[in-house]
Amino acid sequence: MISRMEPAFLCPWETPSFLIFSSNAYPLFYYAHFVPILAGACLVALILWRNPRSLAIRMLSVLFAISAMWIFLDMVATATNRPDMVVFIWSVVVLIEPFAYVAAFFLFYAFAHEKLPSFRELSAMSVLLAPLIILAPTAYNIPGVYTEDCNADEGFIASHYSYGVEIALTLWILFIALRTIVHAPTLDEKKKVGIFLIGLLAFLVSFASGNLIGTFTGDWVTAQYGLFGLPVFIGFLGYLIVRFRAFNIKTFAAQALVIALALLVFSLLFLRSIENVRSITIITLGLVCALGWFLVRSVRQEIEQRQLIEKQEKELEVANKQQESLLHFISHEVKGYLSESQAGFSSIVEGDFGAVPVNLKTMAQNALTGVRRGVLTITDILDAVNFRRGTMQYEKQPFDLRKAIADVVEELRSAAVEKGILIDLNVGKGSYRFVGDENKIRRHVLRNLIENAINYTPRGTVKVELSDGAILRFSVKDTGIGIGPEDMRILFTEGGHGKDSIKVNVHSTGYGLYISRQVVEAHGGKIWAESEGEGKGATFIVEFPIG
Amino acid sequence: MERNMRTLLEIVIILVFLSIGLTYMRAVMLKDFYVVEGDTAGAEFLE
Repeated sequence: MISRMEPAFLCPWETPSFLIFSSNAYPLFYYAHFVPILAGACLVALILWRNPRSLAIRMLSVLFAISAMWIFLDMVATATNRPDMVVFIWSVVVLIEPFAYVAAFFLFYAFAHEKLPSFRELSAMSVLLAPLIILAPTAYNIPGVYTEDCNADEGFIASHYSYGVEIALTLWILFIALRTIVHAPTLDEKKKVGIFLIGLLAFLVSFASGNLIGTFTGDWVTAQYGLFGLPVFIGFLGYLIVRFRAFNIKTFAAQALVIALALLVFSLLFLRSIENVRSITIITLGLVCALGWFLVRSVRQEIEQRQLIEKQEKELEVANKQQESLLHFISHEVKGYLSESQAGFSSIVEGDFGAVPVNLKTMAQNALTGVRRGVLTITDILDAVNFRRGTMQYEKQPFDLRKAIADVVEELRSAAVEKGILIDLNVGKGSYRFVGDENKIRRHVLRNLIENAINYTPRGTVKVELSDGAILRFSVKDTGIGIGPEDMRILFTEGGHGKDSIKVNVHSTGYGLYISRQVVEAHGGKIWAESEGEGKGATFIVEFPIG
Repeated sequence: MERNMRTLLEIVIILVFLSIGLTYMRAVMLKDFYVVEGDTAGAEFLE
């Protein structure tokens, strides 16, 4: 039976206390309503506090504020026993609900484009919302109330038009998001927008699912469970916003986890039938808070340390580059002076200035040897800098590796003979045609390894071998001072002197083997050393792939 | 934010509050609605 409202009529339960507490609440009603509001509020406050200037986060806050208001009004509408309040609150709920979708629209724009929608879009939205705003206070929205459960009888606006607006706004967001994804310049950008869209849609579905279930089935108990998704998706959206805005997400995640856990435990206190476990809940809450505090503190400390290390790494990198440039500059300049001196001494030795006294010629000859050695040292340093910068150029052409080795051995034979060392060259039969930068391989690999063997062998033999097969294998075996395990580790590194190498070879720069390795690797080969230990000689082996 | 955009938003917000005020007048002051005896589920069953 339908009748006009009588002022004295009340729904069949007591007047609520504090607007929201009455016996008309369903099981888990307060749990389902307080948790989303409290958890969401904490998350939003945390995100907003850490990044207050972000437009997207401000829009997320607006979205949450509208949702929280909706949830609160839902509690009031359920608790009240006054039909007039039901009509009023229910009408307002219907009115503000689509604004959550408008806020979601704004949020998407702010996240994907870092701006608000255009005036034209806002005008179109206003036109869509106008019937709702105009007809909300009329019988087209909420015409009446059912006496037994105090639920509203929903008119066309509440049961159809508002949902139509929500569906239209959702489709609109979807359309704009897909357009953004299609036009995004990079895959990362597409992923970012796509994941955010999924989070936003999940939020909206979670928000709307309860209403839809309630409206179409009348089962408002099941309807309330959709609300549990709200804080989850608010957290997710907040995470995405800060994640893609280079915010300190790990601290945020730890804080959010602790707050969510604490709130969940705290919310258990709202359950009516847990008198016997209330004390356990309070202890658990205390533990969560205490352990959470330690967790957040330790995560923050770790992050601060990592940030410090990253900062120092960057500073070190800059300092290294500056040092490298300085080294390059100085080496280049010194090489220029040495080259001039070399030309001068060379002219004296070669008689360009006519006959000179024997003493002067001897002095000029010694000086020329020293200067040539200096030029080679400086060239090594310059080459090492170029290798590190990646600016070393290679001129690769076919050449005969056997001839190159034989030439180098002949060049160094006199130095070996002077020291009483026998050089034994052993080249197997086969083709030793190799494509590479002949000059660099001769100087930095062949000469360097054979010269080292002579320098570090006080007496005995230096055995040079070359063999072919699936690979070209070049080895230099000496009976010299050998290499200890400690030296072996740093042998091919930049400036990697052996601990006693300076004593034996005072001209060692520490760059020779580093450069050898760079040249060999640039040709696709590998280089390594073998030694049974100090005083037991060493073998250096180079392998180049054929072809 | 553009000026016309701000104006439009302000108009929408004012209208929403006006609408809420009118809703309050209709429901609480004028009580311009009807009551249906029974509950929501029962009413749907009768339909």
